[in-house]
Amino acid sequence: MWRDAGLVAGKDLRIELRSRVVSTQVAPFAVLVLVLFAIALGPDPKPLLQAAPGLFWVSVLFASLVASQRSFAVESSEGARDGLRLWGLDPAGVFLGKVTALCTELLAIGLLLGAGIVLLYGARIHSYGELVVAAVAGIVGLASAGTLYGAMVSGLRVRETLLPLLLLPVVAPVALGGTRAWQGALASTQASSPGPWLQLLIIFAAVYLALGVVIFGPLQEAS
Amino acid sequence: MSRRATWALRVVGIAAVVSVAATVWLGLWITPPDKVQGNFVRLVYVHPALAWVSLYLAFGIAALGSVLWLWPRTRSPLWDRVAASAVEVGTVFTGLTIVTGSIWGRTTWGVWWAWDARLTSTALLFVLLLGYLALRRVPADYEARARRCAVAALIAAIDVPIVHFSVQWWNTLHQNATVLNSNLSPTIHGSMAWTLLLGFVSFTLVFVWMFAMRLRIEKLSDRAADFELEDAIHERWAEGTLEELGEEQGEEQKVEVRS
Amino acid sequence: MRSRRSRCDLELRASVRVFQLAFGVGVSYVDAGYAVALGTLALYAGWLWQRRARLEKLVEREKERPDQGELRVESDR
Repeated sequence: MWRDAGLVAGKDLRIELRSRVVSTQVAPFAVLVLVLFAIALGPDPKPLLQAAPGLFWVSVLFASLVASQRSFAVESSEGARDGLRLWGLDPAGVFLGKVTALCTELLAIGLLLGAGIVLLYGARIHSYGELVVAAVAGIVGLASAGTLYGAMVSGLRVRETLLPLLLLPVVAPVALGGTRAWQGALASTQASSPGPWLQLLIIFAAVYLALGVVIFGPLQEAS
Repeated sequence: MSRRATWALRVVGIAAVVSVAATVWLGLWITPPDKVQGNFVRLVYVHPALAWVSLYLAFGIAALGSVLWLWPRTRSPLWDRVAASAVEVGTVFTGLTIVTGSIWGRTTWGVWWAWDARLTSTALLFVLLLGYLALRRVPADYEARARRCAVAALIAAIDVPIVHFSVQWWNTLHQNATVLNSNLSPTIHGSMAWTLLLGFVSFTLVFVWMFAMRLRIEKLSDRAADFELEDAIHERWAEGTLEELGEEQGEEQKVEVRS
Repeated sequence: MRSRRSRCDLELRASVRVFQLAFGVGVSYVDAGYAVALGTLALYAGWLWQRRARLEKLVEREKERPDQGELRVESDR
């Protein structure tokens, strides 16, 4: 399983390095979301600063939506999916590989967005440790749920409209926990102890990773 | 549908109508207004019953059906139909829960909405159910569709409790809950308690009737699709044979389809 | 302690102004709530009924057609 995961992750990341879709399209999209929020919430920096953690996480959520679509779009050409199955790769390994690749992409975007809210919204970071843990746990959860749902809708013609409707409600706890955790970690926002929220994010990630490992195989059988 | 099942369904339907009518009569006229909430309390006979049906009964059945379908040993088309029917009826009830709850909140809290644990997770559940219904409408073969929907329902079942608890946490930490005490239940006693119970029973009966109808509809529509498939196959065969015979016997030939 | 009153009685108590004010607004909300809930359920029930009737007619018609050879589609449904 781990070997297969490594193979699939390597394949996805290599495709990304060559096609550069995530870096040239998804990342700018995420930054664009930040900019749009700034436009919507007004030039006064105070509401932006207050909302900074939440806006970060909403942007990450939207980016994960697009990135999940992309992760399965690369499989749809020329029977690549059938090829993947014919190779006899362990489906749990395929799942973990895709999650790893998606995670890497989203962490890069997260880094970019983090810099974005520091630069654009004037946020100041209080404690890096909690920030990083929250971001990693949250993104792992997002990547797991995104891969699971991405697989579910990948063969369908209506996938672009269906994926947001299916994925976003499910990852709402990540938005909730992530925002609260980051509020604690950023200075000058109302701080609440981030501890329980980090637990929430970690539990969410663990649950969806486990679920994906179990269910990815049966899910692939049908589509 | 067997005679007994039809008769049972009819009985449930009539019982549902009668008990709902009784609930309305008792709820709107006979029972007294509450000390604190006044006449606004009359919504307690409707809203919690709808919430119970949608969240626990309908969603529970949908989740159970999905799990039973996914588990290879218990897999059967029945469970897929059960899950789909429960979701559709459950969506109606969840929507009504939100609307009646919102109206009740407006009268007692003064706001149409509040971001407490129950409301947020109910709203999210509603969207998840809509997602399931959207997934169901995507044309696909029976097996793929059932599988996708079952997984979606399972994920929803796991997610709703997570959302509920995390929002509850969120609210207790921010002390919002004490201002808008989401516990709308007044102290219930006497005739109010009986009416409340009747409300639960009547809306449960309504759900059962609707669920059974929807299940029947699902089975019939599967059967109808089978017939369409048969027709299509026969037409295809007829085309083939007609081409052969047409040369010898002209166009107006009644084609005998042989298997 | 509190005697049971029906809504009609309360309507007659025009002297209680606060009550009437709340009553005026409150009842319409409550009535609206009941109406929406019951109305929607009734409409949905009607829709279910109509769907079932249509499908039963369809299936009956199909069953009555002469058997067209050995082919009988019985999928796993």
